[in-house]
Amino acid sequence: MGAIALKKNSFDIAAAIDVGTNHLKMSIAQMNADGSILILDEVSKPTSIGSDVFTYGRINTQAIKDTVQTIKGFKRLLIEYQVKHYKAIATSAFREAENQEYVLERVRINTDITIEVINSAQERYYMYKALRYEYPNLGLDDADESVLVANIASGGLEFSIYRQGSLTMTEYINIGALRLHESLSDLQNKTIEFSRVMEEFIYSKLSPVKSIISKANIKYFVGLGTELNAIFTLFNNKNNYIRKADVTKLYEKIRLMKSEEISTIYHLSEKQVETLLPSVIILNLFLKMTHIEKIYIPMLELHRGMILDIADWRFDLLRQRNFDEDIISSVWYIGKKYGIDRHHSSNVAKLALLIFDKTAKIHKLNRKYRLYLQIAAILHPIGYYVNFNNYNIIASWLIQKQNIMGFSNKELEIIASIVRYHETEVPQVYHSSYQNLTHEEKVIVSKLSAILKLANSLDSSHEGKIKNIEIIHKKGELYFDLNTNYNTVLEEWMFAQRADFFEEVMGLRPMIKK
Amino acid sequence: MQRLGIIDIGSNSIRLIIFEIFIDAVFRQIHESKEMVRLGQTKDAMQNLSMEKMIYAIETLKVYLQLCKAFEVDEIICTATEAVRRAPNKAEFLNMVNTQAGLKIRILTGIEEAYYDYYAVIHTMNLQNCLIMDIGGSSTELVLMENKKIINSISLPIGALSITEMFNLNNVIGAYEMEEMGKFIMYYLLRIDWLKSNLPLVGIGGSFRNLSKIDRKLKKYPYDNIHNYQMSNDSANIIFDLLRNKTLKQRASVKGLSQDRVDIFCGALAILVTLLEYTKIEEIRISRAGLREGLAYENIFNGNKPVDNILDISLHNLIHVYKIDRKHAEHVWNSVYKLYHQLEEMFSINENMDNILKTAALLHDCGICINYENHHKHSFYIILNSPIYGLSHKELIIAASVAALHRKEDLKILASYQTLLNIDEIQNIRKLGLLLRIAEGLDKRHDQTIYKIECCADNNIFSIRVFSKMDAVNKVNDIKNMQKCFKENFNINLQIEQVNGSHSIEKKFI
Repeated sequence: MGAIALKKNSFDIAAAIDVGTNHLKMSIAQMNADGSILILDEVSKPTSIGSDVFTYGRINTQAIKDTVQTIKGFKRLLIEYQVKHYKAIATSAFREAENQEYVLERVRINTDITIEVINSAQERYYMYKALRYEYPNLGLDDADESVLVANIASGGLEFSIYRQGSLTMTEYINIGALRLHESLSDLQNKTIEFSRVMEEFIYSKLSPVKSIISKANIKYFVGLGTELNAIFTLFNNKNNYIRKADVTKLYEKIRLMKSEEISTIYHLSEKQVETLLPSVIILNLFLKMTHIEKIYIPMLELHRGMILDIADWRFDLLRQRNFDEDIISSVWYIGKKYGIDRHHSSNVAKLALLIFDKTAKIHKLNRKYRLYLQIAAILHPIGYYVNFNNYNIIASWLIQKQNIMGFSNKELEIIASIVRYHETEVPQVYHSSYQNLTHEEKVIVSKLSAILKLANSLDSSHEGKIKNIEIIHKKGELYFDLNTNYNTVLEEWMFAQRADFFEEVMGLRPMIKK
Repeated sequence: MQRLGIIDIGSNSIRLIIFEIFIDAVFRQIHESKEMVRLGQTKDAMQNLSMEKMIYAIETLKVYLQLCKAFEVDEIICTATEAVRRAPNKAEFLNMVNTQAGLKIRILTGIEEAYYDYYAVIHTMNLQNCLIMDIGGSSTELVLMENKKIINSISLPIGALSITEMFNLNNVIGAYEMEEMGKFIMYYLLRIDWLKSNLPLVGIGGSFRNLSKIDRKLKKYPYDNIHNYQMSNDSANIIFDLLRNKTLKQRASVKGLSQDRVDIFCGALAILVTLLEYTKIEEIRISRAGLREGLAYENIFNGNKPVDNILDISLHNLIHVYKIDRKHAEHVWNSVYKLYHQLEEMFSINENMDNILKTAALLHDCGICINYENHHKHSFYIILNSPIYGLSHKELIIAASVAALHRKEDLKILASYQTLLNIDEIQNIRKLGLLLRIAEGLDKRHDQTIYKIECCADNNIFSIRVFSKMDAVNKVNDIKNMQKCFKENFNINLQIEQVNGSHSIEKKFI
């Protein structure tokens, strides 16, 4: 035997299936314990799902049959490669298909593969994962230089700045392609004026961020998302970037064209054309503002990000923790938008995680739920933004409407429920949001909200009085030993009021150690 | 910005409310704490405060003071009502509070208490005349308001707690107790010679809030909003009968009845149903605002005369909070106002819809603060859940629905509220929604280039003339696309054209 025999479990085979708008794709990869991945096979088959859905709102019988056949083929490959871990997802076309349930069911019955329909925030998660892997040195090289990542979505333009390898800010501006198309559509038929007005409009919206961008000393500009990918494909480019001059040229060309012409020349559907011009204008202006000569369009494939995600969780890689931090920084951004008290939220989050970690043997929840708790703790006060009355219910509604990178609608519902019960209210069978949860989810919500109630009570004064907590388990009681230099009468008083629910859920009475 | 803390020492509970006050009379609540101290519970025939309760109260006040400090409250107003007012040993209590907590208590007279209730009601409800009733732990305030002015007021020394203690209400309440209790309450009511019957009763206090909650649960009322909830005298009687035929233990399982209040709730209801029977008042409206809000408003206005239009203040506040494009919102409101008044007779109602329409027009874009995608639906939710004073529940639901139709006609969002609306109202929502879409179309780019519109309904044709600083042909065309929908809704044809020059020659246009 050679000396380099692989340790047991130091690698695994994983597969990712992506049911996209135009293609069904699968990639099979070897994932190693050190985090690296090696693609073993990649297959792709065109599909008419997208055109069906965008035309009829449903997936037609033939496309369903084809999909089932293709996935059957994928399944055979899965067996051949002895794949242990796989993930199958479907994106935008499926999201909009009215008959998605039947299609999913037929795939499941015929292939035993369960496809999850993911939302745009989950798509973004895989995309950023792939980005982080493909470009591990995002802004790492030089402390003074940053990377700008932009994503043009239907409702807005989202851009993030990475510096020294971590996400430093995410900004969202309400100038998405669809929104522009809608608000300026009355000008559409007068092409020359249309592009001019649109340009002025976008410019005025972008001007507030101009200074942020110019201060950041952007070295690389990376573009993500369907809109930018669509523009990229127009160039038939061999490189992975588009030059500024090319963008300007494209803009000058299409701004004088009627939508029918654009559609014919570039083989685009009416819907794609609607958002093309706004996207090109946004991109053009953005490039002007940053003085960058080219934009990298990595054309990241979702399935690459999915494989990485499977690996991260399979081997519990440090990479995932760094990535969680990126998610948390985007959650802070949401909190800021709704005017939360940053100090209070960060105190509560700190305390909640301390309690979570030190009662791990009692609640037995894994790290994924720790992230739920952290997000719930940060966002718990956002309901005040709308109304003080029922603010916990409003907060839970608001959370369900957010795009939090990587979170499914179901996960958002769970986080929303944790927030709903963070103060005096406790779960009731007649709460419809609670009813909609499965048994397991109810338990998760109850445990995490029990912890959040205590954490919030321990920062009743909003002053961050408690530095640390030791938790001692003794005879059916949990003693919280608070490390503080302050008078904590208020905190103890609130804590006592929130203790009942914790005891009911966890079976142990929490007490403050004197 | 200033923060104001109000501590209200009641007979049943001690509460702390913290308000944040901005300029222009805009304020919002940011905190609330309550502790059921039951200071009014006393075994002493003289109604002295018990030492045990006084200590409990002081401990609570100390905690509240810490909370005020934590929230950086600039000013604290601390008031006490009947339990302290009537206690022979009140000086001792005030002294203890002052030395131990460093807090000065202002004891309100019954008339002052009634005044603050009134002051809260005129700032949060759009009513000219009403009888206000605030049932507390040991007292009940009654205020007769006509044309928004206090005509008469009184504070009766009976409350939820005192009635409960006086009569045995823990078991099924039989005919004998009912009669005795009724006689006792009537003894006080008969002395008031200004009670009236043909006006609504506005109910204030925890017992009323709880009553509305039980009623909403019984009726599966879809809208979760206490303030301005309307119910009938019959409903109050039904709930009282339901509860009085149960023992205390059985009452605890009635949906909506708070555990803090289950023991004294029948005492409060007894006072209410006796008053309803005596006055023959049929309509009850619940006010979430009471003494504490009244004190806050007084502080904000420094005793100046109350504001005239409470709805305008709410809307002004929300435009600010939700960062709505004010110029656009006002442009849309001006246009839709004009359109509506030219078509007013086509609506199957006689009431003025201005307040509803103003709310819908000014707030139609508020959902953008959640997400641009589907923002019309978000606007619906936000309007229903924001502090908007001066509209009834029904008016709020209609306003929210009209706002939700500002991009396209889609009534799905209304589904869960449909039980509260009749066919005519739904038709009106569609019509107003269409008018809002037209108004929105006139300022689609949020640039206010259309500086005037004129319109007239004549010979089965509704004509709109547009005066614009720029060529408005595209906007006009957009609105022409709504002609079919217009015909469906109003059964007349829509015409729209851009006019050059600043005045129309024909007189029929306004």
